[in-house]
Amino acid sequence: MFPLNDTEPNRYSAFPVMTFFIIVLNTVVLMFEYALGAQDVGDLFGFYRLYGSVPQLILNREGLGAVSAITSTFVHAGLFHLLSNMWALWVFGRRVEDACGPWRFLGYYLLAGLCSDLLSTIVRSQLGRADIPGVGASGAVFGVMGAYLLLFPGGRIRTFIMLWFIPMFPKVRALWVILYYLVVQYISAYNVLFNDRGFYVNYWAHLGGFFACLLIFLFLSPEAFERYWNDQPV
Amino acid sequence: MLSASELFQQAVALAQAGQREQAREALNRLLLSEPRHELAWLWLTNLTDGTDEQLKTLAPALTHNPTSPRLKERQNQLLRQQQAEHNRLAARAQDHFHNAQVALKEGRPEDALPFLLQSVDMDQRNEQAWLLLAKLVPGLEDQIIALENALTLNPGHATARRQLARLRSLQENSLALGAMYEERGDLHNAQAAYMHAALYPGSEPARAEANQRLEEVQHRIDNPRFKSIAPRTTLLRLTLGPPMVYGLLMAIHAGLNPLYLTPGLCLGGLAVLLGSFLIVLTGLRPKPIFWQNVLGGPGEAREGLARYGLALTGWVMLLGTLALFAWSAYGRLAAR
Repeated sequence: MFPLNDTEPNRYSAFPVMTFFIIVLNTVVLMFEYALGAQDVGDLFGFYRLYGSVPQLILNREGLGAVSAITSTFVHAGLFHLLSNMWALWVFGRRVEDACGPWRFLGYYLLAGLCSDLLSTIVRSQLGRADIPGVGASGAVFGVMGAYLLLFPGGRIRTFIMLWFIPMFPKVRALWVILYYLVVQYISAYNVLFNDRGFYVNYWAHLGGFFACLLIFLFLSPEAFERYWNDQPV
Repeated sequence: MLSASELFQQAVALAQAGQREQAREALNRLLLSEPRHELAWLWLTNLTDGTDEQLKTLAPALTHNPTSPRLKERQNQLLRQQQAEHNRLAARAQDHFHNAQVALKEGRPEDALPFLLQSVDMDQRNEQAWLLLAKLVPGLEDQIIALENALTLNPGHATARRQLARLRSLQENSLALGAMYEERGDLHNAQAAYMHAALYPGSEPARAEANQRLEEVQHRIDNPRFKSIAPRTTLLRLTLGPPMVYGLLMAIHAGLNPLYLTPGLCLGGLAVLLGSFLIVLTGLRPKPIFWQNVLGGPGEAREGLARYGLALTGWVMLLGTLALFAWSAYGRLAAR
């Protein structure tokens, strides 16, 4: 199941400026990484270690500390990594930004990134993998998906599904799409913790980001919050 | 032409026949020519309704005959009667006031209002009743009248004076008035105030805001179950977002160990909180009542200046703190 686009329109604004800006920034950073890697792979690893989130450094209060928790959400480990995260951000971020306004959306995006880093740091330090840099926007993007789930559970997402060899593009309720991804994360996070499998993907960061959605209400615009409070479509 | 004595006899006869109006006319005619006629004054007084009116009628008689024992005695009698009536009314007014207080205590303000209105109608000297009425009565004009009455009884009441000044300033600022009504849930009065603000705006931003609020209020009137959120609740809710982000930054920066939270980091938290408060406050629509009272409505020069000044201060505090935070993180890196 792969989400293609959100079929419902914005209510308050015409274009998701901040979502677009975040996508552009992430793309620029990846291009910079490619340029750096082309010169010297050692430099690229140093870049990941400096701007990625390394639990060992964070817990020992070394490196950039919390700044690396922020910068790591703008660093990706390859084109596919970037595309998958930015695609999901575009699909789910558009209407969440519409409900928050661009600056509050940025605040929430960073909060989700920090929540994801917090949980990931705690879990990875317990698993003995505290020296591997964690990079990617997926924690923050899962935060955006969680917010989407709370605000627009009935939103309809055009989805790509392969039924045997037949591609299908049904509109699926956001609730089911996001729950599907959440269940996958839970199972994988369980495997990481108890079976020591799949640690190369930071599933705990995804869950940490997702739980940040409980704080989305601190970032909603007054109009959107009033609608939510009155059980009306946000 | 009748003589004074005949005119008096005629008036008495009319009065005894129950023709009070004609009797009064005859006595008035007589008193024009004989203003010192004591008996005529006494009869005229008796033919007047109500103790207060009787006292007023008797007053000129005493001007003409200041030493008359009969007139003095009648005046004293009327004064005693008036006092007794006032006491009786005051007791009933006090009962109504008490009932209003009980209704309020039981959370029934709609029942308290009629009691209060009866109370001040019977006894206008109850300052507390006027003050309470000013809080309960829905219209701004009525609130102002109630406070003016309370202040007539007790000109030294500072709170009432401040409240009155605030209400008078609201009277001149339709946008602020609309916001006050909106906050009290009185949507129809809010709509009227915003409509006035949209028709006679002080400036283009004021017109835009009035139109925006009108749309919102109309939406709420059309959806009666729609509960509005008070501006101060929105202010509190939105203020908390950035400090929450900063709190997480602090926790991670201190290596998840509260013992390593430095005073600088904590001070930064305060700056972010204040900066966030200022940014939200200056961007909030409609503005909270306290803002409108101090700085006026949108479009006023003082308000515009304060809005931009405070917003800039808020952004500087917020972004400045984050910049200092990043700078100290790079400093820590360099120190290693």
